[in-house]
Amino acid sequence: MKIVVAILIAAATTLAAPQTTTTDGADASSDHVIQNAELAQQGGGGGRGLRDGSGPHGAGGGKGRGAEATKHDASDSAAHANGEHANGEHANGEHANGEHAEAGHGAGEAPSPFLVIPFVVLLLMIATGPLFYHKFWDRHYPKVAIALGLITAGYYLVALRDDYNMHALMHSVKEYLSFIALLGSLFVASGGIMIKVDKKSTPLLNIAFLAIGSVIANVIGTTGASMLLIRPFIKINKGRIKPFHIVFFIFLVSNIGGALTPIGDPPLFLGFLRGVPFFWTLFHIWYIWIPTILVVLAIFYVFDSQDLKKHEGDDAEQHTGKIEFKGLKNVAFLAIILISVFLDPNVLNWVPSLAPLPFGIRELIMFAVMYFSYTMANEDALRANEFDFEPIKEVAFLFIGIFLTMTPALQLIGQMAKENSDQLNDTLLYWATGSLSAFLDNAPTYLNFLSAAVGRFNLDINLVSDVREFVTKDMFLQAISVAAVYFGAMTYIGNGPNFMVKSISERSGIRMPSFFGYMMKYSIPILLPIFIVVWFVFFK
Amino acid sequence: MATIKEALEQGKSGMYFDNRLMLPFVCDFIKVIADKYMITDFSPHQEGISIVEHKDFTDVYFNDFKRLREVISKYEHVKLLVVEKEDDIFDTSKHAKLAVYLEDRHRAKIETTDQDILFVE
Repeated sequence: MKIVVAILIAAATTLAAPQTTTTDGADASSDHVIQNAELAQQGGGGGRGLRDGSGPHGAGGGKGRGAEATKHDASDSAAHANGEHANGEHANGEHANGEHAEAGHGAGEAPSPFLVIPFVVLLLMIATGPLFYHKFWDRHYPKVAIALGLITAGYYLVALRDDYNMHALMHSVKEYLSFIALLGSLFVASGGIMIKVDKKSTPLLNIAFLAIGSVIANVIGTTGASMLLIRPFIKINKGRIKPFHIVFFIFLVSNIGGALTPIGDPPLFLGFLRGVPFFWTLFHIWYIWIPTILVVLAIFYVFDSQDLKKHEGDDAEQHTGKIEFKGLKNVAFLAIILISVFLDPNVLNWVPSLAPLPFGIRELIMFAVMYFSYTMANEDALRANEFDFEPIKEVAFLFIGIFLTMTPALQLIGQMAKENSDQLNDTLLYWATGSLSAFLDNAPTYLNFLSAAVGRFNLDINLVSDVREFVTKDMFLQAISVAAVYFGAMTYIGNGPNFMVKSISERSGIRMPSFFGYMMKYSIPILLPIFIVVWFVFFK
Repeated sequence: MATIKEALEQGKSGMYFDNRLMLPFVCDFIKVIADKYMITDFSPHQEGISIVEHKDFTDVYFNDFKRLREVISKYEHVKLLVVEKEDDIFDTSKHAKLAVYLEDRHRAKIETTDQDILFVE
């Protein structure tokens, strides 16, 4: 399996190299590929892009719609030269063909809609495998995910060997590596930290715990916060823990809580990687986040108060009120992960790019943290947390498949959005992103609809500068971000940490509701009405 | 008949081979947790686990696993909620929560779960 992954990365790496050379020295590959300032000036000075139109900007695929260039000023060109694009002027998504396409590289051929089938099959299997054929799924899910991913990648490599499609595939590989580096490092580092709270369980204490967890989710991610806090939360409620305690933990700490920063939730991190400014979510979502959190906490309070009445007098144990903590070293590792999130050439100009490698300094640091935070971790903390790589292994394998198979879906949705751009609005994007985020995974879903919304303005999601231009328009992104994060709580498969929290709870002896039980008993009756109100107040 | 109490007092260990866990006592099982699997059905038609009781020890077969070692990692353990044969199974104060650590040379160390280990009855 490792070999397959290595081959995949190697293939992606080799694919990147020719792209930077076959376009007369210009960058036709990636927004992360560094080209030197000299090249940028060559292009910018002439007032014309260096590269031909067949590059990644060609989101319009094979449909010629004339040439519309989005001009960028000299400072933009310089910024590109530093970290992203070497072109002085670049074409937007509509600009794939026309005169530029004739410069020697045929325009990108749009992938066939049938190429989305592996993506759909994989997502259906993720939803149904653990329920209906769990023995097969438990044993073979890595092979299934990689095989479906390779079908898609193979088609790109064999049948769609043009710059536009190669770039799209390469981008998926890069994003996967960034995604798994962040998730994996947070998972391992937080697994070496043990917090024990010896206090009597009360609804108010639980509310305080969940509220703090929701805030922390924005600092160490929903994955990190979930891993760090689920065990202390279970311990506090040990005498009367019920599935609803865990379900509300999933609602708040594993999902809704993390809506404020890109570190908070994987979809927002993917948006950040694509060019959404780091603090955009904080400044544009806090006034939706606070009332949502308060309402969910209020409902939890009602549930928990009712439950406490039934268990009045059960907890005869003496509580010291102490909070015990083990694993200080891993807190330092968490801090390193958080700092390294910013180490991206698109964020800080001085950060070197490792292009054409499909990862950067940030990912190297995160992978190093993953290794050291495990080997140097406090053994008692690991034992108390029953640390096991299985949950992150599951995410890593499934997401190889998801990231590869979703590539054509991303391209097609971007293209469809351009063709139907008049119909996009907040309501449509909120419900489309939300409903898909609930049943599929919210990270790729967010990207799909971000791609659609960006395409609405004839911009290309594959270009950081285009995404930043889209953000300034202040349209749609709020609805997509809120829906992707919030609706991730609707099912166990909506967000990575949901599964991990369920798994830890079950390993602790709590009988969690089934996939459909979770929806019918909890998420539909509790969350859906709240999400409808959110839509009505903020997006209607 | 070997009891849980005796086995713990004498520091007896169990053994494991592939998917077979041998416990040095005889008891009634209430719940077994291995990896993400929680088993509460110990009837003969249950496919995931089978229990064979001997005079002084008990064999537990995890039929869904090829090898326990592959499923239970270094920092994990098999959790057992059990009760002595002669005790009242309906008296929760008699329930014993045990953690089984899989060590080298097929040794399965058995301890009552300490406070740090999460095990909700």
